[in-house]
Amino acid sequence: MSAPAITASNPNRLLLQIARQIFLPLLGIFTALVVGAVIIFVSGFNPLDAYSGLFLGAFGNWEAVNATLATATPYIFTTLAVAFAFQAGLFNIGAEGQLRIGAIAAAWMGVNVGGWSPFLAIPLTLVAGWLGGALWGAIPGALKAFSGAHEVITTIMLNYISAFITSYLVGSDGPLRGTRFNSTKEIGENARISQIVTNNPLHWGFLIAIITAFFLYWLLNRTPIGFEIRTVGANPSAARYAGIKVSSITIITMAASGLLAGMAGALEVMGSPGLYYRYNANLGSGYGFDSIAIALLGKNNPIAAIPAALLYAALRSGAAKMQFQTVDANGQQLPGDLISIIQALVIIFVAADQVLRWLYRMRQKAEGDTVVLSRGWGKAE
Amino acid sequence: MHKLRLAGLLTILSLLAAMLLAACGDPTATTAPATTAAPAATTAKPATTAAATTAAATTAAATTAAAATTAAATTAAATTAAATTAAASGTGAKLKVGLVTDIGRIDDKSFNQSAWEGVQQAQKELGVDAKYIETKDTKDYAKNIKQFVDEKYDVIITVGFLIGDATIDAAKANPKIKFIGVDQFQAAEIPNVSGLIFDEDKAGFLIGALAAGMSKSGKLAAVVGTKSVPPVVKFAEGYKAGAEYLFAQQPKLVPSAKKPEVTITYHPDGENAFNDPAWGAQQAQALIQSGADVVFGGGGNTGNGAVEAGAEKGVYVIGVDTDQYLTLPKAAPKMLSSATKLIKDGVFGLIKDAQGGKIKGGNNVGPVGLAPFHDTDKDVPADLKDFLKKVDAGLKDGSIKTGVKVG
Repeated sequence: MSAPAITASNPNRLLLQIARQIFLPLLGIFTALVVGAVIIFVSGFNPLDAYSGLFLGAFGNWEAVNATLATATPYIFTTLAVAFAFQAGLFNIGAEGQLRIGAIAAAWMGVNVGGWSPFLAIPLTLVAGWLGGALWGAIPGALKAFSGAHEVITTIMLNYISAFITSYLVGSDGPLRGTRFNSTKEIGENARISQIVTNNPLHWGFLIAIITAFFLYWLLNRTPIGFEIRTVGANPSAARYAGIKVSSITIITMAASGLLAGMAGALEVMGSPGLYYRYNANLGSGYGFDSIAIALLGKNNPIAAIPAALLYAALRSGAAKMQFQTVDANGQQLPGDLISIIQALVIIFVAADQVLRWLYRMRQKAEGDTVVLSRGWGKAE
Repeated sequence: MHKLRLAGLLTILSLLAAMLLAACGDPTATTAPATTAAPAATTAKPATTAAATTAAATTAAATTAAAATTAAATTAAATTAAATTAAASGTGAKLKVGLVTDIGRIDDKSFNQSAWEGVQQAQKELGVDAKYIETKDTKDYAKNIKQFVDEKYDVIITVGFLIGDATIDAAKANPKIKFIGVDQFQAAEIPNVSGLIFDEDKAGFLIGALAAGMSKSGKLAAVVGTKSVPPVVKFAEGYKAGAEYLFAQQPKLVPSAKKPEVTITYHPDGENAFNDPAWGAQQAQALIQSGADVVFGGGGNTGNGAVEAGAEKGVYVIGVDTDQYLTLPKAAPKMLSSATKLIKDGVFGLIKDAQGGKIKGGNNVGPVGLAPFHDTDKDVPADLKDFLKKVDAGLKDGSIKTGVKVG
């Protein structure tokens, strides 16, 4: 369930609420860092070197901040995709496949219309990405609505299908292959989104991500369709009894979720200079699963997806510097596995707030803190 | 209850502040043994829990913060001091070498590891300073290279052809830094990019001679990836030429006593030419059926499928690129050798050139060779081993030519 709607009428309550929402995650990060420090220390490295590297790598100067925000951009979208589906009680594990289809659809469109006026080329490319992702999300939605096939299974399977379709499309005989190995051609200049600061990776897609997060919050909490989605998520039987068309809501929600993931892929192709404005077969791998964890960090709240994705992006973005400057007495560098462990610890401690409450002997769960992850498996609806 | 939370929050905030300060550090602070940094960090933890349980949060937090700050400052100071002395004393500044991996770990038993071993050899023998960064996402190539650029590294090595674009961009932006691109063919010469490529035909030639010397039936098989990738063709044609060379030069080393019959099967150029182990296995089995008793598999998973199927059928198999005895345990007992690109030696050689100021842009051809025989060592006749050594030397000094010409 999402956090209760914020009411402007009571600013003190609002502050308290925000503090309550932020306090536990911060405590979780802190605990994870302490546990991580012990692991780093036992492994023979200096935790201060490691953490200062992580911090400097992510936020050490404007360029680092820029890179971290750029890393966060696709994560915000895929996290929103997962969180949005969660609101209707749907467990979308297919964000990766939806991202991939969205990205390759955008790349195809961008190659073909890239010479047109940017006023046409950019919207067309973006819409191609939306449609690709939405289609890939709507399929499991429809399967669920009409046959009861569980979306966990269908989305995972569609991930594989999308991987093979796209690798055929850009493979050595594929119709979309470009000059580079396993990649499409570059999209045209006019279909590209520019960087916010020249020569730095952050592009305007970040702003779109922020706007989208607030828009979804508004949609879920202030519109009839949002209410219907949340009702289906809370109790599908009651929703049906209340006259809500559960099957339509399921399809719409999954399509919207896919659209968001597709947008992540499209914007990566259109704006990320590190990818050279083409789709490549490695694009987005792992994003779908990472974003499930990130969505849980943000308790499936669209606005909380922003800081949660930023946190994850910071952990990733700072990793290079962390590995660079953490050296033990024998000249060995911090292994990549340790970095992954620290990243995982943060997620575990932030997500498992009951553990934290127990650890710090805090009051048990306050009302309204529960997160509905997914309804039961294979339940007849 | 609220007091308790407030105390915890304050502690965290002050610790975050301490970490911030720690990150910035003050290099002008007076020196102290760097070892104090670690104990200070550990003492910070008990202090925190204490703060959370007592109401006296502010004072405890303040102490922690102070402790952490001094610790950090001293480390920073110690590092700068060490760096300055190192630079000032000795025979001048050490060459700084950074390596950015392709996606995967530094110990991948493949290209990343081989390249890093070359750097480590340079560390030991040439006294260079070296560090690596592992890449997790294709998007991060440029960022990871930049890490070394920002730290003013002299030589940056990038591994794999996928990172080639990012390498060229970085090289153009930083003309003073030397870049070494492992397995990156340079279509146009850029003065500060040295692409490390390999003569695959020479590696194929060596395993061809080995295979001809080990085959009882005189029928040799090669199951390889697509014909449209030149290195694949060079491996396969070299294999054939090497087998014929052995018969022409030393017929008594060929057990079948007739001209070796080499069958090369290329993948039909589908989208998964390098990722079709089932097809590879099928081809290997068919060739073994028709009498082949040595199978060379070249071309990613397709070749691996052929090699594993061959070993399962009990014939000798030969791997490619790196020593596949280490990466294909199923095939290891029957693995004669692998046609390897000696990335380690190639990387070491280029670092040495860079140190001596002799490194050249464009394509640099690295050495190739045979991987150790491992389990099959006792099966290979001593005469054949000697001959292979001579061929290897001949290929290196140019007295033996493979005669393979590809695109």
